Amino acid sequence: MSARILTPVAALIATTLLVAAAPLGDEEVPQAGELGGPTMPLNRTEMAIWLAGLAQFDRNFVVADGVGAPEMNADSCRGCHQDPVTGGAGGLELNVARFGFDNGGLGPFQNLPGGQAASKLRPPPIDDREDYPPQADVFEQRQTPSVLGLGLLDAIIEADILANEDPTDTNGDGIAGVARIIMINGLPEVGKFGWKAQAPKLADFIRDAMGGENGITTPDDGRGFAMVSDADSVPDPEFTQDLIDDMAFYLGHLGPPLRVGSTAPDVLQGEVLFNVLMCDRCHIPNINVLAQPVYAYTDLLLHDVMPPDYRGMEEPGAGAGVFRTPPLWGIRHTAPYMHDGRAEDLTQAVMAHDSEGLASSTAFALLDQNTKDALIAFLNDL
Amino acid sequence: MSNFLALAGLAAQVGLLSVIGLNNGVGQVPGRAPRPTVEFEVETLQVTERPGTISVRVELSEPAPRMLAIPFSLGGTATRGEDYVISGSPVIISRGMKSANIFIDILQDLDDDDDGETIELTLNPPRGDLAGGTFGRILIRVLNPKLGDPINGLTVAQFAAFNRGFEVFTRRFKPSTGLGPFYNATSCASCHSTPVVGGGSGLYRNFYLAVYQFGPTTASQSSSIPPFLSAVVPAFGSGDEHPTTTEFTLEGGRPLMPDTVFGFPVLSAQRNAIPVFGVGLFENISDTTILSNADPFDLNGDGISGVANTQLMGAAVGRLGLKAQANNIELFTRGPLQNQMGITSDPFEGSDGLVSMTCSPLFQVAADPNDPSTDFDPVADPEINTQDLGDLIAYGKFLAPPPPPVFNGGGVRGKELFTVIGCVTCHIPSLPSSKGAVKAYTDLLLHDMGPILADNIKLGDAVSSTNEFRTQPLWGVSEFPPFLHDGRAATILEAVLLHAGEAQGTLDEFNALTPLNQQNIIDFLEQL
Repeated sequence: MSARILTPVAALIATTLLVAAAPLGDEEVPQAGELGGPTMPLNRTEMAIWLAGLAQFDRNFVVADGVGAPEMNADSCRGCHQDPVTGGAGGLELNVARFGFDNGGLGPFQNLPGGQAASKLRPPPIDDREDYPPQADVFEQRQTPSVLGLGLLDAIIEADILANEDPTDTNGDGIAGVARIIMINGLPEVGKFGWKAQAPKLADFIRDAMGGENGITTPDDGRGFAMVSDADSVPDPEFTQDLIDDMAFYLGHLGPPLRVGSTAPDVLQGEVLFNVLMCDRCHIPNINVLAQPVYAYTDLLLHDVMPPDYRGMEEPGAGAGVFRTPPLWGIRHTAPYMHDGRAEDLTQAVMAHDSEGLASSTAFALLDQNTKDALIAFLNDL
Repeated sequence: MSNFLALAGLAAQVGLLSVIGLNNGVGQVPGRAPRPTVEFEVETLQVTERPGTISVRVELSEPAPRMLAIPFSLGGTATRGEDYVISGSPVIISRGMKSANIFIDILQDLDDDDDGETIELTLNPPRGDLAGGTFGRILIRVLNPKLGDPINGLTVAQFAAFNRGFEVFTRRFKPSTGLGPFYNATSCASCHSTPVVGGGSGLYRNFYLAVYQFGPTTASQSSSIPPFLSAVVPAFGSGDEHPTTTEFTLEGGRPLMPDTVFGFPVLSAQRNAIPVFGVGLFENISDTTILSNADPFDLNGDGISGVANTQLMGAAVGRLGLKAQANNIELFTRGPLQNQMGITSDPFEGSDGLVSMTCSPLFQVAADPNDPSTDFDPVADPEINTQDLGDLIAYGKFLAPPPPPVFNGGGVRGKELFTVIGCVTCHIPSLPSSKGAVKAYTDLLLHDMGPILADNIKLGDAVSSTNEFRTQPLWGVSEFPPFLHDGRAATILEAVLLHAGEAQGTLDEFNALTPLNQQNIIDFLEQL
């Protein structure tokens, strides 16, 4: 059980325990250092837990398991986080849908009955799906983000995130990052996960997705992210704490995508441009994970990056056009881009930045094609 | 995928070699009369260990001056008589002809040799003839069959088309390349993905069909719902009710599934993606064969009344889809392209084989199978070009069935019991076709599965199709959970137990079996 609560960093320190990294008889499982493999070589005990967590992530939940609330978007985690490896991102057709009411854009934004999520499916044989309430007038799709490397983000201490905040833009660069503060049992925590940084901890993110996407109830840990009961006939919780621990260990030790590491002139030029264009103000190249730099290219802060008239979902502390800076590691694997997948390629993604990102995207647009290509080459190297 | 890339590489190699092999200059000695060459069309060939006949072509550089008997010798790791059967040497080329075929029957052995086996044929000079010429050799690799193989016996060009088709099948469409305005998927392989490309999918890829009834009680007169224009309900696309005004946007809501249309009730049902392995072979089964098993009025009194889904009084007999609503691969490719991805296409060969035409003119492909499909997004139609569509159709036509089964343990007994209790009345083990037996365990007919499974949705002319389903092929069935039309059965046993209606008698017999015998049947199904 103690291995289950190893943090990635603790495991890094514990690499002296390391024995064979080969998974137990399954050559399909990626190795450490490969996309979709563990963060570092794991010892036999750790690997057994990691594989058990992977099996849960990959598990197709069936009606008898309680899949659906009955609403659901998928029957497994891998059902969306699948591209190009288990734990990766998802295509446009795996987007999830949200709805609300903002009075035709005049505001204020209101959640309608049923919350923001409009699930895609109900388990068969239910021959109907969730419709929006008729008052809904604003809709937003959400892309499946990659979960590779989330364990490292989980280990970032709050102070290292808060250090980059500049809510009133005191440095006058037009960028005003702010941490998402989530109140957990009356105490503030920094949100790290999700498009609007709505979950502080990886375990919260797992509980939230198990309930919201798969319709699987989980044991209540008192933090408010578990769906503890649902409307199907399977007894709750439908997923045990041990299995959540396995999955948390898997995700906690699921390695980040590695850089290509090209030293081609355009890639090197693109890296300089990335800084010149001020992309690095939000997509901060490295952030410390317990004193070790981790190159995720994010500040985990909220920024307004949509046009001023953008209509979308609002949450307390995160307005319609406000999103958490997504990590850029492995971005070459995760098209399409932006929160709803509106950008088919990286050029469109750069150009989709507005408001706080407008200066950068405008400057990018003024570059000649070769220079633009250099920035894209750099992004494709990450 | 790497296998396919390897195959594609081989195809390129084979193509190149075949060009060289056809060069009449090979083997000539300068300054003398041209020496003849006798070579195989290709020098290497890759097939899979599936029972059936393959042929290799022997080519002469010039027409035979008289009937030639060219001896050949056999080599390789495969054992003649055990792994394959071949007519004896020599191969005969008739006078005036330039080629002949050698036929080889591939047999299925029980070895699971990962490397596969080889058959090597070497041509030798016939006595007194063609002295000094060049005589070819061919190496045939017989690989172990697996899901995703092409069928055996493809020409070099067909094999190349199959491989290109695989690429199109896995291509992800984007809004800029025509995706939408309504869609459920971005590639064929989005849903046909498990356990490998061409397979089925988990529940998360389920989609909805919806139709409305014209009349208050006649479910047989159902039609598709605006704005969907097909019975397939999209998960993504604008919420606008009128597609003509649809501007494709990711910010639009999901199309609503109305409860009524024009005051008529809307009926809906879920569908789980079905595997497409071997579906091309269903094209080769004659209408007559399918109709010969039909018994719509249950004249034989066995309680089972299979009915074909037909168009225009039997002018086309359906065989593809859960309601047998289409009869050829082109339609069954163009339909989902349009309905699941919003990808428009022009007819490739054209066909009148769309059996669902009369009740629902917009159901599968535009207005008529011979018409182009169109949509309202800004991308010019057709959104897939003729080359890609042809390759995609080739992929569907040439994708082999799941590997042939080997029964052992309880499966042997289960196979007998499957017959004894009457499962084979509908799940007919083998149907004859113009290209050999199709061992799919289906009659391709519609059957009433009882009120629990009935979905009230009519696709095609068959009145009974409102509540009936085509007998699902069982080859490789255990590879493609979940089961039944909407994936409601997580296990094969659950699927068996949900059979009712015409299958009630057989289900009763199944339930009366001992637990061991029931397990034997499950073992058999898992080995199929």
